[in-house]
Amino acid sequence: MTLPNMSSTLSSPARPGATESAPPMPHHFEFRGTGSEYFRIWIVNLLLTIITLGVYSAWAKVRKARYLYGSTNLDGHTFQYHGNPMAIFKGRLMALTMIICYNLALTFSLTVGVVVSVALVLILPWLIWKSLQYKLHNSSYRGIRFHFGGELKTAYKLYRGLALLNILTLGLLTPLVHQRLKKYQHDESYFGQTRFGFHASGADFYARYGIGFFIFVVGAVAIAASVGVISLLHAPIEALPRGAAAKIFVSVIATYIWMFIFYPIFLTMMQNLIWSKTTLGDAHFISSMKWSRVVIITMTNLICIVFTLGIFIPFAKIRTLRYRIESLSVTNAGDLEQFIAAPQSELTATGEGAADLFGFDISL
Amino acid sequence: MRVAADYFDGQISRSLQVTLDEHEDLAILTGEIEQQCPLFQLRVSERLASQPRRVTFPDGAFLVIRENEAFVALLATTGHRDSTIVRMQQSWPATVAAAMACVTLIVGGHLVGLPLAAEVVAWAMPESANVIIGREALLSSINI
Repeated sequence: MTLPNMSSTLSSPARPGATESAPPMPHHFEFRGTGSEYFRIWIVNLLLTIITLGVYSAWAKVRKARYLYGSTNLDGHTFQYHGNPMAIFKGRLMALTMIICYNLALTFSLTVGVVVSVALVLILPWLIWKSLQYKLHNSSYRGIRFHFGGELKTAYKLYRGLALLNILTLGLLTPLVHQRLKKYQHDESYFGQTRFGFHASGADFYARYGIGFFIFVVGAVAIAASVGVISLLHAPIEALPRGAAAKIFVSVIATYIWMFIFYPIFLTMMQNLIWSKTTLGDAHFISSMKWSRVVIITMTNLICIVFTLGIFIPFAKIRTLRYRIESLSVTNAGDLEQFIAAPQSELTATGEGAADLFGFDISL
Repeated sequence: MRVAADYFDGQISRSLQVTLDEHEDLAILTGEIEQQCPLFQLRVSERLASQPRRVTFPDGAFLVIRENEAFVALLATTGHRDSTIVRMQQSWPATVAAAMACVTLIVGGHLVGLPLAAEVVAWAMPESANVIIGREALLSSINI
């Protein structure tokens, strides 16, 4: 039923008046950073971080972030990172103090340990909230800062309330929790005075998680079946105890490889969904990552990192980022010259420093 | 020496075409906006091979330089010098030396620094802490 409508839309240029509104040209994101330059920045800053026993890491982080933001182009202009290393250093120092307190408390007294654990659990949503604020506030494009307007109580509802409910329902709410978190992050973000929007529903997330689960199970069954078939074909080996060990070994290795293939497939699906349902005013984003490319990039990165004893890490980071960023475009954004700044205030980096140390990834 | 640049005022995303010049310790902008600012109030971004330089004004407005080479020449006339870290980041010999120093420090730290630190900590540990840790360890081994 929709087909005739579609064809009439496609042939619309023939209709009178339709030629007036040309389809909006998408602006493609470009990434101009190079692995070799990022490597030089990485290694020099790593050396300084080691020499200063980690103190320099805040400055190193800012330098690397500045490089990555400055390498990201949209319509001939780059993004800018404004993070203040001193603020990040203070944030990290505070997070480190919390971790040390937590460990010491657990060693010396169970009661103090429990109190500190509860305090950490209670403070976490606040840290994430501060981190979101800090990250966006310190990013700009064409001189206009981003900012995060989400409320603290929503962070508590999501990261404590919904997360707890998810545990009680044995993880069945995971896709919904994910959707709500992305909605909180994207819906409450601003570029100057222009608000972002997020339009993916819980059902969209459940569908992607369902497909992901199906792909994972098919792969796992295929691994189990092939190991079974191989052992049947080589039946005499089964007679030896070594045969069973070999079978387990092959299964474990195959499952690991499958995980490394599956994870990028799932991430690709999620990034494409999340960004393709994100808007900024009238503009909307399109993410067109291909899972096959992501799997190849991830696997080759992994192999190169292992064989170069880690030296390849900065090159790997650039390769991954380049593909992720260059898969992104924005349509209907006009000439990108009409965005207006919002009034700003300075923020401390406690959240970001702490979120860094606790190892959250809230950037996707 | 005049350098072409894009000017952003930090209030609206529109860019203005300007040229930057330097005269008697003043930065002089001409073009779609005319402005002057003492050089010491400006901040210049670090040198990177793949990115245009930025010059930031005290009010948050900034320039994105269109001609990096001409800008470097202009900077040289003002006596500006890149920091040691920036020069290291742009030099392969310095990078290789930094990589070797990293490996030496990590391996050396593991072989020499770690045992040394363990000894220092062992001597510095108060007797009470030693007793508590010992008791906890004993209790946990009994529980298992």
